[in-house]
Amino acid sequence: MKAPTPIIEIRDGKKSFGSFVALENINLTIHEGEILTLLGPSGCGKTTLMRLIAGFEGLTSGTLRVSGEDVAAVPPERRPVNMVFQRYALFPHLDVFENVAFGLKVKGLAKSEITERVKRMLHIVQLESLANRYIDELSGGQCQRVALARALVNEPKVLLLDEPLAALDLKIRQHMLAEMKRIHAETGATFIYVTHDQDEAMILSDRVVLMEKGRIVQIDRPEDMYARPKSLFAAKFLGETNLFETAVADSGAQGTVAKTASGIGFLSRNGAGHKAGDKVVVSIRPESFSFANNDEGSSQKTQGQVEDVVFIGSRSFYTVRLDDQAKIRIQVQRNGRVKPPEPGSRATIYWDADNVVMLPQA
Amino acid sequence: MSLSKSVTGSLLSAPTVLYMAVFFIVPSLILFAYSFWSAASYQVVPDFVLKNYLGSLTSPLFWKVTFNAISIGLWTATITLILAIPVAYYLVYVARSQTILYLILLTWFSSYLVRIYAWRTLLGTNGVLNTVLLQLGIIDHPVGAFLFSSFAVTITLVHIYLPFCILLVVASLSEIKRDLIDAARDLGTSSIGAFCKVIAPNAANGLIGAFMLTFILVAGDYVTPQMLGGSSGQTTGLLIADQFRKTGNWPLGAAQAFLMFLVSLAIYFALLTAGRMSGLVVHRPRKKKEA
Amino acid sequence: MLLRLVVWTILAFLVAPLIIIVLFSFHASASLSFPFTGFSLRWYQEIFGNTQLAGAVTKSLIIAFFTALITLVLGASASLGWLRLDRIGRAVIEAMSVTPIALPGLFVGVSLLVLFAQAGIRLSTLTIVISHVVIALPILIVAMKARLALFDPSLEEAARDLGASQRQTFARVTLPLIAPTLISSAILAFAVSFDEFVVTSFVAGTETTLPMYIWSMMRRTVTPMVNAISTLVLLFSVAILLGAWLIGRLRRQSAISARAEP
Repeated sequence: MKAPTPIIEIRDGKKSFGSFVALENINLTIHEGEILTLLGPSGCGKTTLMRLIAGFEGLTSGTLRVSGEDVAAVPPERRPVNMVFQRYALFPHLDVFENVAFGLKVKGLAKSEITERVKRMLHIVQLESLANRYIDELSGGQCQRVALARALVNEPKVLLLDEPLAALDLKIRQHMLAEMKRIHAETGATFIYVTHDQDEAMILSDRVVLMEKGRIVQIDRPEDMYARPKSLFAAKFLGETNLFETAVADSGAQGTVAKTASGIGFLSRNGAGHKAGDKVVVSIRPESFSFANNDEGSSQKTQGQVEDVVFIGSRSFYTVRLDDQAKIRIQVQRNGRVKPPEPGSRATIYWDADNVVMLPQA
Repeated sequence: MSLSKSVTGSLLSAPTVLYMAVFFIVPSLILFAYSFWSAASYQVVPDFVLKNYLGSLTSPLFWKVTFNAISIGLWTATITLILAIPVAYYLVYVARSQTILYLILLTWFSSYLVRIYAWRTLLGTNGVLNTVLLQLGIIDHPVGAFLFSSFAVTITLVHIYLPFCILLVVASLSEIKRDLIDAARDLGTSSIGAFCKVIAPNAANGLIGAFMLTFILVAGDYVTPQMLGGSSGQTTGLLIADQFRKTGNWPLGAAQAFLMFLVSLAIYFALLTAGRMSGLVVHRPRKKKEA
Repeated sequence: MLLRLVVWTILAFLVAPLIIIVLFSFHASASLSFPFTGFSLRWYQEIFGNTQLAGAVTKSLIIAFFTALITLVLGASASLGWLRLDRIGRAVIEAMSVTPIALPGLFVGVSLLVLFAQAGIRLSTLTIVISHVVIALPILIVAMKARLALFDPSLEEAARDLGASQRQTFARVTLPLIAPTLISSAILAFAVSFDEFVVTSFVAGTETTLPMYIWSMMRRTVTPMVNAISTLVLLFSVAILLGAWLIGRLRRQSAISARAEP
């Protein structure tokens, strides 16, 4: 695997609007050809970060380089970056073809070249048959494709997508995610994707940039961010989790051991850096608990009372009240080997030290 | 070098703002200044006297015509609003009929004087109304009182201002979702009940706005009362207009114009207070927009 | 359905007087009452021989044209400014444009009269045009504001993002999107000016516009000739309204509001 080439580099980026600091301490390198997601709750600064890259806003301090060139003085129309707007911002007075051709026309390209490139792009997004339709005659999903085509036809080095699926309903959303992966593969452009939806981020991205209150809190591959969140915020924002307030009892070669006030102990192989006496929060995903002891060597266990079971097809969610009254959620995959406990019965719950994450208290 | 957004915006708006400042705000201020000046033998003398105000306030004629203007205004605005509501309701919630909308716009844009003229011929002694009533045997001799009466003035003013009022009510009802009526019906109210209990309270500010705007425009309309009101057609508006044309006491006219403005304002606040006390108008703090 | 009946009765009340006017403009006799004694075009013939009337119509057309033109230029500029202003800037424009609509013509008329008197400006066609713009401009701005509220500012950003300069963005995106509304508003400004009477009566001096001519006729006599003039004015209003409507119907116009629903 060859070393990734940086396409966008932000160093010590800060953006404030008057006294409001929208972004702070932004250090981010985006690699050529990757799909990078800016993920976070609304108001976390992800859209501002995207608008900085597009050129609609300027950094208050710090540097922003595109392909090694400082672009502080480059207006949006001269950046090798194109954007898919949240509500698409398709031109209602132009038809689909003219919308897609817009960028090429203002660049003054020859008519024949414009026609050829627009047609090719409409083919990629599968809209050839709608070339002469106006925007108000299109469905949401079709608008989405036009917006993608309009941006990509300019062959941008970087494509910015601002919550492009937010306006679509669930079914079309899943379909468009697959489409976007295909189009990404076909064009090879770098995609920067803004969303507040963790599922979209997980499905789509090579790397996820998690943001909170104007700062980047973690940059990781989606599976790593899910399995090894570095903060309580990350653990809670991505997926569901069970949290336990604990104090570190011991830290050694075996791993780190932390105990709740009621005495339940957790051994973690991910707890390095915490020393005895530290207050830590233990995070264990619902699917990391089980009712069966499948790995004798490292499994830990405790006991509780099964309170409630919800079946969702192939999976079941259990609510279990531990002996110290804490409630946990357990997700169990259906299989024939182990008979799951009935509601009301007592059960032993097992987990593995690899799946115990220790996080500093917020 | 591109200018910042707000600077460009200000530059582009400047001509309009300047125009309205010079030809609307400055004239209003001059008129206000005039109201303290004095007039002597057709000459306006810069001064600071209160006699224009005091003289008007102690003049029985002023009070009589002002009372007349207010009563015409209130009657007309009330009837206009009552007629506007069903039409607006129909347009907003039942059928957004283009035909109806364009009929309303057509009457709105048909000439003001033509409409006054229409009612004058309709209501005259030999007018259409009298001949029709005579032929139907409802009356046995022409009713002269149709014309030159408060009735004639009110019906004409209703006709003139109804289209405008309908459009205002449509605008205020449009902000209230149909779902609210459906929910109210679902919870067991009649359709009129749904209007009174759900639509009216939510649209109250808009409805009062429509009423007041109609009232102010009607109370200031002196042409219609003059043409159709006969001896009962004397209103403050006509009094003021005459000061600026016949008698030529401009400072007095200016003072009376501001008095009329104050009276309208007082009625507006009286109405709003009455609405609040009766609980019809609810003052809600505006929802803060999320960042 | 009861509501339908009520609505159509009210509409009949609105339209009937206009129909009566038109009907009697074709009356063979000079009387304006039933029974109707036959159709004739004599009142229209009388109109076309009337040079005073022709003069008033010409004057009104000229005034309405210049009113619409000035209103269009100022209003277009202000609309583009409005798109770029923050809340405070917008509030200023709004206050300036809404207040004159909420005041009786009398107030506007006398205050302009005192302005012209104080500034020593002789009352003329110019003062009429100036005054008509004061009335028409707010109406245009209110109409534009309603449309611009639907204007998605990200359209301009999208154009810039796709490589268009500020000027290209204006020419290719902003202007095509607001032009239909601007033009139909300007036509309305024309109609407002053409019909304006109250303010005009204060600032016209010795000039005679069509409404002022009709006014003087109305005060003198009641004759079907006034009906004939009124009918033509009415027809003209319909034509203007139709024109504004047709422009409004242009597909580009309908598109401005066609943003994707959330």
